[in-house]
Amino acid sequence: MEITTRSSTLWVATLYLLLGLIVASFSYYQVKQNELNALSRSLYNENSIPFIVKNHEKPVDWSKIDTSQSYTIFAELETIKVKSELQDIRGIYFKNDTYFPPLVSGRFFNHTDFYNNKKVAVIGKNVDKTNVTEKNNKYYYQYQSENYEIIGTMGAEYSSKLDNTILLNIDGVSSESLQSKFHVLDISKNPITPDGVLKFKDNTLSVNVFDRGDSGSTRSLNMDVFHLMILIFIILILISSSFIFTYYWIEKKKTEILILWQSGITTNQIFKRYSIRYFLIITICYLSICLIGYLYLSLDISWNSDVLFKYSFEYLKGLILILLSSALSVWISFNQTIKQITLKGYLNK
Amino acid sequence: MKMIIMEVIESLKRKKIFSMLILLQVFIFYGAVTILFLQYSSIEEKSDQVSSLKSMHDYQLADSLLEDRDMKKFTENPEFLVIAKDFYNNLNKVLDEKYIYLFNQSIAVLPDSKEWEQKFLFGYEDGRDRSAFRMNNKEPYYATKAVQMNEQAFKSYSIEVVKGNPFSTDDFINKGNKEIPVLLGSEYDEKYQIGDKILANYLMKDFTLVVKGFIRSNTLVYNSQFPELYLDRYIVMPAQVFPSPVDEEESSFQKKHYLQLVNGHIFSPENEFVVQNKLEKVKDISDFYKTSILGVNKLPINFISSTLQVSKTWLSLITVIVFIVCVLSISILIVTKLQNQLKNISVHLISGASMNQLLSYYIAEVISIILLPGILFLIIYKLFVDFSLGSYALLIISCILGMVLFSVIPVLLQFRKLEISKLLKRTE
Repeated sequence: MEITTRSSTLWVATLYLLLGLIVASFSYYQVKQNELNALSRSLYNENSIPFIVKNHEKPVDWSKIDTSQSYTIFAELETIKVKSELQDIRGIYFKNDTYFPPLVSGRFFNHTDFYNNKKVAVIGKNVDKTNVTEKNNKYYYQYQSENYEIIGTMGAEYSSKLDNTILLNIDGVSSESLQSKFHVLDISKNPITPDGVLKFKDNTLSVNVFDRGDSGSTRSLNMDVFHLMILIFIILILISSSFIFTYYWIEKKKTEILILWQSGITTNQIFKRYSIRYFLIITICYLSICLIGYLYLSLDISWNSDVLFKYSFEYLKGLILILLSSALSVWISFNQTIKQITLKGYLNK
Repeated sequence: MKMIIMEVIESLKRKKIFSMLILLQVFIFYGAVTILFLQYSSIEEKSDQVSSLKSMHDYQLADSLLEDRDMKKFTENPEFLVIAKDFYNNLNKVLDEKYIYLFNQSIAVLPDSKEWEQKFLFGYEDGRDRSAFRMNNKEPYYATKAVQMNEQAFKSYSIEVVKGNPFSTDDFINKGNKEIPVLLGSEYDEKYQIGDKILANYLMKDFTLVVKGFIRSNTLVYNSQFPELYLDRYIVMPAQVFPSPVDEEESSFQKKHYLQLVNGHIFSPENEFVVQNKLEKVKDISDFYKTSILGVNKLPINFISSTLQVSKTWLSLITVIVFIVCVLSISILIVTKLQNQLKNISVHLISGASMNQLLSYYIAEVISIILLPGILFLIIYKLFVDFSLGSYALLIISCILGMVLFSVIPVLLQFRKLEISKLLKRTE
């Protein structure tokens, strides 16, 4: 079983396919982990800020928080028990961007649903139908004798808290029902001052902030540390493997390079030729794995543009990592080989 | 033997970059396998705990004593305490199902000079504002979060203690009626030491809490009443059985106490009818009739088991691919390296070495690259982790076997085909 030059390319292709598979499955694992986490935290992120609005008569316009970041605000309206299941009823508003939960049907909120005199709801797939009414082929969720049009149903392929959650647009909820209720602000940088002042564009709001601690599945399983270590090792394997494969490939091409060099072609040209060929192999292998990944994703019920973006981002990171480490190793091993075959180096060996 | 070792060392030195690369890859491979193994086995451990509870229903018991006027009389009867205590004991011992008592009765703590953070106060997470208060001429008392659990609950939730000792069976029986052993949540860690005493008032009776240990952070307990309760900010008390009361005050305390204890939950995979029957039997032998099953609920642990399921599937896939990639790349390296050394063989053969000797030299080289780091990892693992060592050793051995198999067999095959005479005549 002598390894010939052609079979060496085949080997390298196989190995890069496998590397691509590692990246793809790890990204899937990561995105799934995040999703599980967000869902078991009922959509809050890990540094969400729970607070209570101090005596405030006028309804608060949550779209006017004085910040340039995107943020999401939840109001914990009620937790009710329907047929032995607890259901959370929440008000929601978000600016620019938020975590989009997996949907079974319909759509999630978008910016036109807020502060537009609408009453809309997105409900979990397990929410009991006793509070749901139908009118003119549209379904409505009834909360405090108000009807909210159901625009979407949330839920992943596994069961989660989300299945029993009801989200209403916050501006559609009467200000009495919002009074003295817990609000949760999801934002990357906390805009609330230490003495509890939240700045709005036209005024300020004084709030009581609480530290409720983290929750969700990562907390209960203590998985964060392992997760980081696995990530580090995966990166190390990507780097070292692509280094090895490149070194090996160039080793196998040594005779070819020697002949090319002896026929008077400059090392730069040889280098260009081989690196283009090599990167072509890598990219084709990697992209074909990505394609398979997307095909697999399209079988998933919780597939939407947000998930697509997350995966593409993970794939891109993997590709950059593999390309960078390969580029470095192509450069190093090529120079080594050239040194060996040019007269000076050759005599020394 | 000595010669073989020297040859191996020389050969490793000769191609430094190559040897370094192989060793690095082997090390990273073992490291990745170790981490994946640890993650997987911790998930496995968790899912064992969860799966035993997953199929269970939560039957909540509720007495109807206080609503009923006649029964109120019954509770004032001195016999009542004996009956309630008997009923509680029978629920724990006679009832052929898990009787789980988990309740969050707050406890008033007199922290002395210690500052008492808001987060420890009862109702803090629900936005309730609580301030210190005065009781029996002592202050400041703080209504502090606490949970009470019976021994079966403590075992079913697999509560781990990181410092100190977990509750023993004796801790659930209070003999002196003055002290209660407690475990503290992890956020109390810097406040107290093991053996510290905390003055407290539980259901209007003074007690001294003795710190027995600290619970691992992020420990989760649950029943249908408390779907997700993390113990980090809680004082965990054993649900206690007290000696017979000596005075009126004590008897009033114990009444309140036992009335809480008998309103626990039954965790069972059986249907309501079966559980109801079993409960009726216990009610009969204890002479305690005014209680019934309030409702049947699923245990709220679905989100944990789905996380475990997803993690397990993907981790095993990643492990398998990492294994294949590493075994292939290491094998390729070794095969290439050995091929490059083919010319040396002729020199050795000319010098009178036999084919078997050469073969053992190759195998020795392969083993020194694969086996030694493996053993090193095993030793490090034994020293620092030492968690299910047997399965870890098995895993490492199968990794070693896999790599040896894929790197030695191609070389062996090549050896068979090798036509040394051609080599010697320079017609390769």
